[in-house]
Amino acid sequence: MEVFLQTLANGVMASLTLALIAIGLCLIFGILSIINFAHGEFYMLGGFGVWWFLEAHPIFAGMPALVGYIIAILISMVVVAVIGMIVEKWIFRPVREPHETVMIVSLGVMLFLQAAALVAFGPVDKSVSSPFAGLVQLGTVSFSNERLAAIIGCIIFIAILYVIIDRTRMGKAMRAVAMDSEAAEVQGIKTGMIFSVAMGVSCAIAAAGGALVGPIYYINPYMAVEPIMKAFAAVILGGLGSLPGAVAGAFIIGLTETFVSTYVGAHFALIVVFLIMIGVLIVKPTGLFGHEE
Amino acid sequence: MTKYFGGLAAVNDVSLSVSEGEIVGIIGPNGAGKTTVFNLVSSVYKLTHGTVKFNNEDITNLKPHRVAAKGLVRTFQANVLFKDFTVLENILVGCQLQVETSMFMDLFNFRTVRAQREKIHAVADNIMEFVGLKNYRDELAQNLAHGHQRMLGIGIAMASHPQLIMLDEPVSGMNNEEKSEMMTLIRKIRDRGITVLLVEHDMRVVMGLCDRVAVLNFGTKIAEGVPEEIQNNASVIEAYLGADD
Amino acid sequence: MKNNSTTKKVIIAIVGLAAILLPVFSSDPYILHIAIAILIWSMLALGIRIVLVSGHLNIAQASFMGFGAYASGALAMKLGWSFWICLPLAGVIAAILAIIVGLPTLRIKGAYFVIITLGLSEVSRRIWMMWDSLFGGPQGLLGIPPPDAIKLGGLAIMFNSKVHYFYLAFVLFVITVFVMWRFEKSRTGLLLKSFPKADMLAESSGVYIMKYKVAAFALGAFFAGLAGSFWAHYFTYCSPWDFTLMASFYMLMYVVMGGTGSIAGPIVGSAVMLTLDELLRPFKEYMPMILGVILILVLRFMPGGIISIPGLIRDAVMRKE
Repeated sequence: MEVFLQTLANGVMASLTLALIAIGLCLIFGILSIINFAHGEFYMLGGFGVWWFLEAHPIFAGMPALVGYIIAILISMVVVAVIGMIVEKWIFRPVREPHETVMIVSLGVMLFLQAAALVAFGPVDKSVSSPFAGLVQLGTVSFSNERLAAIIGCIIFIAILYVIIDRTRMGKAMRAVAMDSEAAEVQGIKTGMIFSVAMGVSCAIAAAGGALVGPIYYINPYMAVEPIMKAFAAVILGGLGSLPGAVAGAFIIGLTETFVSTYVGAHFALIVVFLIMIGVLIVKPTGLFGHEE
Repeated sequence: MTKYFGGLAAVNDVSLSVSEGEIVGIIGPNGAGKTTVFNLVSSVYKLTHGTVKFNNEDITNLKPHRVAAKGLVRTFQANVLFKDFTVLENILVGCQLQVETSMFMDLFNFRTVRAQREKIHAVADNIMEFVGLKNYRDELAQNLAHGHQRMLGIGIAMASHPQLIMLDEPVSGMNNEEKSEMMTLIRKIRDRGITVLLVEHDMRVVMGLCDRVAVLNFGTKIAEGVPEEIQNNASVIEAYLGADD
Repeated sequence: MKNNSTTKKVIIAIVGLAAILLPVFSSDPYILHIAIAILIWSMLALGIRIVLVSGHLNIAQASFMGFGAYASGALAMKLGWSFWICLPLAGVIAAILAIIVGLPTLRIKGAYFVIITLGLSEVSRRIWMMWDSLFGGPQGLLGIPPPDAIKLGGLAIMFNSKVHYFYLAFVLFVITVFVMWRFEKSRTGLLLKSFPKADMLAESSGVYIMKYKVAAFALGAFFAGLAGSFWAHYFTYCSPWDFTLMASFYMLMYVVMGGTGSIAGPIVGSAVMLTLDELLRPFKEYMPMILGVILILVLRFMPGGIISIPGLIRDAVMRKE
């Protein structure tokens, strides 16, 4: 029973971090019509960001650990968002048509960012000490505080994103562009700016995911390779255009993967995810929440 | 030759039957569901209710390439062509149903393969002459004038030697001279023994060409009959006047 | 127009002759090794190109190579079968795998297909690492036997020098190029090229799209399997880390850099990029970054690839007149 609850907690955390990446993928696809293979790298850079500010160059050493950690996350998010926006404006946008070209270009960006991280930070795994020491006891089960913090952090970011998309004028503009970018342009919405904002936000939350998970697992240049594949599976499962679908998909994939990983084996878990992905595409290619074209 | 179909929300319980050698027109205001009907017959869309029968054979929801193999071919409303292929190459794709060698055999230049290529090229030449594009054989499709592009679309459809051809707005975007040329072409198609079903907005063309006309509005059939009857039909006139808002 | 075709034939003849005579000029194993690599990677790149032509991006080509390599190695080691049987079998196994993956995935939107191949890349590696008994686990298969000697008349050609492997690779390369060339020149090639333009139109003309797409995908995988089998017996080992997503991506890059417009593209791309890779060996660390940048620049400013350069030059010259 204890193993089950522990796995459940891990699964929830994995699902939430996956959701942060998946939402970003979904936003970029919905608003910019781009399949961004490099997206996982922004997650990776977020992880390196907190390492940079907390371990390599601890400029917040004087402050309480929690404050330092939060500031490090926020700075990382901003930096990664800026990198993402630069990539979008100067690398993706000029080659948006035909669609295959921008896909290959995003693969190129993925390669570049991985290699750059390798050169800059070296291949050795990095670790970040978490400000959340200790455990929480619930009956016979104990969860580490750091995992709990990651879960809460993810939920906060998802909630903030929901508010932005659903309640603000910017969000409304983004939804308009996602539905029909030409019509939105005619209505006076500056699609260029919306593209930048969408990209920035997506990269920021991906970075947040990497930053939140950083202290729990190791940080290295290839840490995004598995998550990006699972994120794609989540988005396919949920339906390529649907944000709630992406979150739902992230949970299905995250929980399945964690449970299979614990009870059978990590390698096998990824194979299962892959089979789910193919299965969904055979049975309902538009995903659980997607609509027919 | 009879066909029945009945539909989904865009096309609600529409029944139509077309006999061999006829030219039948479908008209109606924009959004009435005319192209949807074509899409249902050629299986681009799935039928929710009803059946499509061709030559007394049920072809409902058969895969699009099989529908074509049965002898039912369509053109598209927009100028759907292989834009950077030449006219010849476009027509060659249309000829695929005439090909008998397998993919594997084509890898080698056997005598049968070569003989087949001759035959197909002859068919292609024939088609290009029929639609009047012989001089544009090696011209890229995207460089053709709009009227010629429409002709090419018809040529591609004709290349599979269909029994029934469905033309989706064949004269859209054409000037009067081109429209007359198209009407002559359609009559030539019928004279070759091919049945024609067409969707059109231009009344003069429809009345001039069609043996029978069906009128759709909001997805239902509101009238059917010979052109003169339709012209004087009250509900038809109302549908068009009403749609003019 | 006529000049073009004769020039092409002359170029092919010269290059072909130079290739065949290479070991005569230089028996340096290093040079031969690079030449072998170029030949083998060209095969892989050509396999990616034929699928790209039909409108799909395959980033799992290294996985098909890997399955070919592992299949060939395992059959030779566990069952003692001759390389000459394992080689074509490896191709067939890779092709069957492609058919299994392609049937459900080639019918839907292109983006999904790419994602599936991305997944396949990762999953393949795990399969090889998991299945110890068959694939040797994380270390891979070690001690794969080299090809057995060919006996011609009274002569026996043993595979104990790079020269022999070079000629074997050359033969495989020529076979690949020939088949790809015929495939593309035939009506199948025309049909494949029509799909990315207007597949609805092809379908309504009676063309069964899936048949052709799956065939192209399987063909590309077949040659990847052959390449893999060669690789396994040439190096006498294969490990899960030889056939990664990165490798697939490099193959794709060679195609894009060379140009997708013709058969020559992937070959030129492989030759240029592999040579560049060797020349820039001191900067090994930065290579992926440099390649990434070059790829992005090529796609932005020279999307036709290297083989489009003569055309671009010709256009520029003609415009000046």
